[in-house]
Amino acid sequence: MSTEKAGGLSTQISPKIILAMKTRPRCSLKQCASALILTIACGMIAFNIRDYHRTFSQTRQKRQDVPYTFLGIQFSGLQDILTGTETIGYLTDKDLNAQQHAMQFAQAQFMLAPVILDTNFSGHEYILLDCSRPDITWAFINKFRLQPLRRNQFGVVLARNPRSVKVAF
Amino acid sequence: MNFFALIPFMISAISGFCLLGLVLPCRHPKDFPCHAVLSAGLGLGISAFLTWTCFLLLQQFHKTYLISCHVVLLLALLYFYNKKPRTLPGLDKKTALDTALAAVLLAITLTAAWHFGQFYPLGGWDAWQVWNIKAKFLFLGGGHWRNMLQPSLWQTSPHYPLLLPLINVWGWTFQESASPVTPFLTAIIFTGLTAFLPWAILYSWGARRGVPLLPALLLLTHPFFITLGTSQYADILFAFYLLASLFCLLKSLDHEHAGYGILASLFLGMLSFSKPEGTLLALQAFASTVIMQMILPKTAGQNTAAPRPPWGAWIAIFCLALIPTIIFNVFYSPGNQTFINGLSSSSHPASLFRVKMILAFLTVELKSPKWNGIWIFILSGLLLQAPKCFQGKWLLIPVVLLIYLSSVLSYYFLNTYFKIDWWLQVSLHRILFTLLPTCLFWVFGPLCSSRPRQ
Repeated sequence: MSTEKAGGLSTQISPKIILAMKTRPRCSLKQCASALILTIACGMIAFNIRDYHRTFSQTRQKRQDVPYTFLGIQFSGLQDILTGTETIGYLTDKDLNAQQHAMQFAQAQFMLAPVILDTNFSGHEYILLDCSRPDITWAFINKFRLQPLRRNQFGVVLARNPRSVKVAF
Repeated sequence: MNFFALIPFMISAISGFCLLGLVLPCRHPKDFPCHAVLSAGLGLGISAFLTWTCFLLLQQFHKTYLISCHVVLLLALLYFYNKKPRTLPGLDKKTALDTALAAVLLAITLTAAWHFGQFYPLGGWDAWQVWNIKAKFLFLGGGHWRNMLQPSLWQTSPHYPLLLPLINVWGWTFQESASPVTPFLTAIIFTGLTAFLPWAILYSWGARRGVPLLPALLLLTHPFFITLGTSQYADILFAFYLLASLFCLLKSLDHEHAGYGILASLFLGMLSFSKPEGTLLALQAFASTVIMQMILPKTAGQNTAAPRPPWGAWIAIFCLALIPTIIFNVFYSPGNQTFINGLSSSSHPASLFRVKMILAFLTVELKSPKWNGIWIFILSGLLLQAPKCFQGKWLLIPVVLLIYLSSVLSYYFLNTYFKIDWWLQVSLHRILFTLLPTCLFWVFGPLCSSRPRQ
């Protein structure tokens, strides 16, 4: 048993303790790297949870202020007439290069699928009129001599084209 | 959501579990969660393939045919399963508790993801313009479903393969209409499967308690991952099948069981049918594994030589799994309507500017705040463990990812149809999203795989 004198007092240190201190393995580089990765991962998860909560709250607030709208819903209520029809014409005065109108057209296509909307409308039996104002819609109907079949609550009109090839035969 | 919406997914999960059990027996209790997660993905992929046969043979959606196919498949699998009974290992208390804890965490995080996804119930732009519109054509189009492949519908990317739409069509089988709940449910299921596959794999490797949960939680608490996962795009399917394939390919390099090679071939086939770049990646991954099998030292244990892999079976199954993709690309796809070869075009030439933009966007995207530093964490984790992550079988992951990324970036350069800044802005983050679970697995895998299973 080793002894030391410190301040006049002698202390005895067990050889077992000395052996344990000398043989305790130091943290290897690999273990340190692993510990670092795991610690950072835990920190990132905590950060993610906070960010997730913030994003969730912001999006919920946005939805409460402005409810979710799918522009394509304006084209609902026409599917029963179009049963069995593969393609219909799509007539509009809106600029389809503008993102908002392009999105509306794409969503209309989705709502009415499997019916295809063709902007080259003239040869089709049915034509969907989606105009910015009712008077423009009626102007198109008169100009192309279409027969209106149905108008939904959003002002979208489904009309029949008597001059289409299919109708002629 | 009603019960009928869940029936197809349950049938697929059971079929997947039986098929997986035939190919790869579950020998250890800790393998059970991994088998469960892989089963669900396998089953849904097989269901998509069966749905595709409906359109190939009958030229339209046919409810009775589809249900009959699944019933026959399930009965056949149960017959072979019972013929050679494989006793499932009993779950010990520790495994049961760990699995229950993971299941509770999964339920909590997926519930949050569900509520988050409900802010956009019809998904992102490509959900209704590309994927779900095709599902509607397939489900409601009757004999005219092929109209969706007309070049005039070029915005719907008619050359994209049909794994996701077919899964959604299968999901609608027990419903009367093309309910928007089913595509959303598909997105949630695959988000959960993708995030929990790293946990299941690391847990089966005997990692320290809690460590396998880290990659799963990193994904499920990541707002951007959840946003893209619930957007109802095929990207989440791509991410799942990529990780599943690479995991099975890694295990096949270990020569543990020939079943891993078979599973890898099946998952690669599903990956190829998910997106056009999936076909490229599947071929690259398979070829890389074959080459690595030849290069890596062949020892299964201390004194035993590794068994010779059943090359014939793997290649045959890989080719079989590629058939749906091949049929689609050869007989149905109208080709890429949005491609201009920048090397030969005088009006839209590829230039050095495009290269600079691609590299700049990639650098900016990797450190973008929307990722919450996860890519910096991944790169740091790989550097800190550099010897382990690039050694032995783990070399497969960087080889596959590097070849794939190079191909994608080359395609960005070559195809000058789109303006490069717009194209990178709308698509680069989705490429990285599909690689994220695999990269996280690559960081945590070497960390956990060196521990012996208790």
